[in-house]
Amino acid sequence: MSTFKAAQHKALIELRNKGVAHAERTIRLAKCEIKALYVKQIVDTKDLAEFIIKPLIEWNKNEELSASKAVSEIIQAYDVKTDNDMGKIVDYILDGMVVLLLSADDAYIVANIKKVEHRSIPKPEITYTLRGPRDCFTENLDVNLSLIRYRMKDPNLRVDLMTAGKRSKTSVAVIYIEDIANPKIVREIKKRIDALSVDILWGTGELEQMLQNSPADLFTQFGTTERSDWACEALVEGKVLIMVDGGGIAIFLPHTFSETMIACDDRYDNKFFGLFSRIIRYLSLLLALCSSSFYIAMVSFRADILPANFIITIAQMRQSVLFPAIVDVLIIEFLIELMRESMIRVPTKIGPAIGIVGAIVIGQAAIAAGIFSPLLLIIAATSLMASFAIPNYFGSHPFRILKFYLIFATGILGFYGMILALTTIMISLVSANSFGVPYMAPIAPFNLYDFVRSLFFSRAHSKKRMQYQKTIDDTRSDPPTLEEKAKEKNIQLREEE
Amino acid sequence: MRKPLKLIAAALFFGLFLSACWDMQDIENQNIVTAVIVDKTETGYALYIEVAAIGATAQGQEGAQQSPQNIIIRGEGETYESARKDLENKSNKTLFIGGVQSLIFTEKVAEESIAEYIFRVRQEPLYRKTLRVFVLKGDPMEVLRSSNENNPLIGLAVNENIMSLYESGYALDVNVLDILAGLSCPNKSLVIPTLEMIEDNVGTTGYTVFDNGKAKGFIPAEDAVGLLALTARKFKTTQTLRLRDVDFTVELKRTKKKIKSNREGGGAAFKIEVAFKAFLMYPSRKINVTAEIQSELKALLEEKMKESIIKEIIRATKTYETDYLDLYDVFRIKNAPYCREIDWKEIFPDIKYEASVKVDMKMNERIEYSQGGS
Repeated sequence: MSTFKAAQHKALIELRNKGVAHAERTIRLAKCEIKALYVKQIVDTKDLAEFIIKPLIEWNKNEELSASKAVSEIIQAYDVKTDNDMGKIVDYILDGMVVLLLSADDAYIVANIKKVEHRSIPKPEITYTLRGPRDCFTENLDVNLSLIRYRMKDPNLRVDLMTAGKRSKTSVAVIYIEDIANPKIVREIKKRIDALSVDILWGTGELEQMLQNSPADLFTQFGTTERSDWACEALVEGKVLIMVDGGGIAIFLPHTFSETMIACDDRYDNKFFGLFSRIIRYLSLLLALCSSSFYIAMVSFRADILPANFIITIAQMRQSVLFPAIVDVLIIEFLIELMRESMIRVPTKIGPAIGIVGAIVIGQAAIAAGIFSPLLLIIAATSLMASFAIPNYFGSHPFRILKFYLIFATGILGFYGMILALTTIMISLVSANSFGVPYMAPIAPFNLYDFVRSLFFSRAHSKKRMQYQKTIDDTRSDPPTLEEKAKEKNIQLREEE
Repeated sequence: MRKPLKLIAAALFFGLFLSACWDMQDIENQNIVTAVIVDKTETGYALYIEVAAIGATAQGQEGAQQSPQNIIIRGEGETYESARKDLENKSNKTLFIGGVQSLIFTEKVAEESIAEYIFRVRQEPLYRKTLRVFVLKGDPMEVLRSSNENNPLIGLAVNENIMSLYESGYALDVNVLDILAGLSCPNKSLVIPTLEMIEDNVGTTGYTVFDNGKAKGFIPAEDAVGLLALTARKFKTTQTLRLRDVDFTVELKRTKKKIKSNREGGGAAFKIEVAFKAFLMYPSRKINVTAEIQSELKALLEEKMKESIIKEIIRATKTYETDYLDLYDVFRIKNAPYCREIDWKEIFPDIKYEASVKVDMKMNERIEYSQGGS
């Protein structure tokens, strides 16, 4: 009976000393010994028994068994390879692989029979749709990749797997369509992921912050989605999709402000209704951002912009209010944010109660107590509803913060302060970019083709993709070859080594 | 040590901002003025303001008298400035004049000149420049006290009244901007709606003619058809015509107004073409309205309207000798270089004119004109 080699022994001892709670299964054949190493919590033990152990035992011939022979003739697992590097055994085991050490060979076998507990494909929770599909991503990267592969059968779809996090060794998938996506952006994002120096990475939320242009950026340069159809849409538009194992939200780039206003249903619905909806969303954004500030400016600085009847009515409403308008607005905005936060975190069973308490406390009692006027309550409630009309939930967060900035500016300088604050916001938006793509494209810089399509999209009537993406192939049908397009656009496909 | 100091400084800074030491003043802490009446006294000027009573208002203010739902404050002084200061002293809160809807001058002020106060209004940033201007015949206090349940605030009531009449085409609408435009051009004058108490309610009774900011005369409302036909942006009137012992009520709407001008013998000549659409409303008794009757009515109407227009031109040229019909504008557009050489005020009384009126008579389809009878 052959014994294991010194290097193999050493690796076994090191593994045992690490205390990763692994399991060992020894198979003694006629002329060699095989040791299976695995962590039983993350391995499909049934597959292990059925497709690895059983075939090996049944083979039991009187000859030495090499790793390559076992892989090609005996083991029936679908994903098997060999390796020589003893230092990687721990990583393989912790990744859910089974490592088979063979006494007759220096190489060992690595079989992928991972079994990770995960939930079934859920319905979307953040981006509800009426007409579109309702499958969305889970925490398992393989499941998510399968959802994308199911929709996109393009041979040019590339999935580049990378690892981030020294301790967590989280898998990060960078997905793009090779003959559409801008290769500069692909290279840049891979470079940034490679350069990450963190111990753990849990999801795309953290990754997004790490990959931003500047840590002080308020507006995100990434789009987010929990839906596989929207992720595929982003890929077809030439974006680079990033998914993290353990996170249920995918991020894609580049991302612009106008894309924050696009909802999933716009693609599935009538294009005229899509236009109507987008206009409503832009108006809602303006309302969410400016309504409270406008109230302060109107009541405390320039009441004369209103007709006299309204001035008298507003004065009557505010007669019994204790605080100046700006303090009123700050109180109510704080209460609304408080309610928003509490409703996200409250257990489901108590959620409705919070809503009722919030409505009663804010609606009835506060007005009766003279804390704020009914008009202000209407304005604040409308502003809250308007903020929910922004399709990208995470995209609306900067505007929640900027609303307070506008309130302070207006409280100090009235309408002038409000316009000044809006100007600084616009300057900030126009100056930002998402991996080289101007954040306010196609408004600034203006492109008529893109602008019309950002409002009024119909795939049947849009022969070209959005020009600001600077994709290799911007036509939607009969694409030329990758090299032809890259040559036409003078784009370097690969960095020269 | 630096960081806590920075935090304290930031907290104080923002605390200062929250207190809003600048020009912030909430609207409920101000007295909202809805009407201003400017009067002349023996020793100077008096300003009456109507303040909207918001909740329980202060009582016992010096010089203030309380009416249901409005408060009247009177300020007096030798100049406008001192009268205004007197008002401020008598008011328990800052006066908010951004809510003023009606600016009313009494006849005494109109005869002296309204120009000074209008220029003050122009300088005052809070005064709306679109606020309507009126002349008042009668006692300001009586007008301001006439507020009732239907019209709790006179300033608003008067403003809304003239607005609705103007929108319907029954009245002229004059605001501060119009007066400023008139004052800036010495060759132009204007008319301002005049208010008067009519059976415990204040209403428009006519128009006061102004030349260079001073009142020159008065045109009663019933006599102002020609004035409105020539100068109003929208014009509508209801006329009663007597034909064959029947009184016919006709509603007229102006559809076209064309004024052509040219030079003639060192002066000016105007050709005025006005067209109306007339709807026959109600005959006073049953009559078969035949085509012949319609054409007679049409001729009568044309005659009547032409007469009104010519009467108005004569009044402007001969009686008041002041151009409130905006004929100067028409003449100047076509004869700009010539206008620089002439004195419009001198040649205006002798202008030549020719008026033609066309009426397009229509039966009102909703009214059944009875057949038969005499």
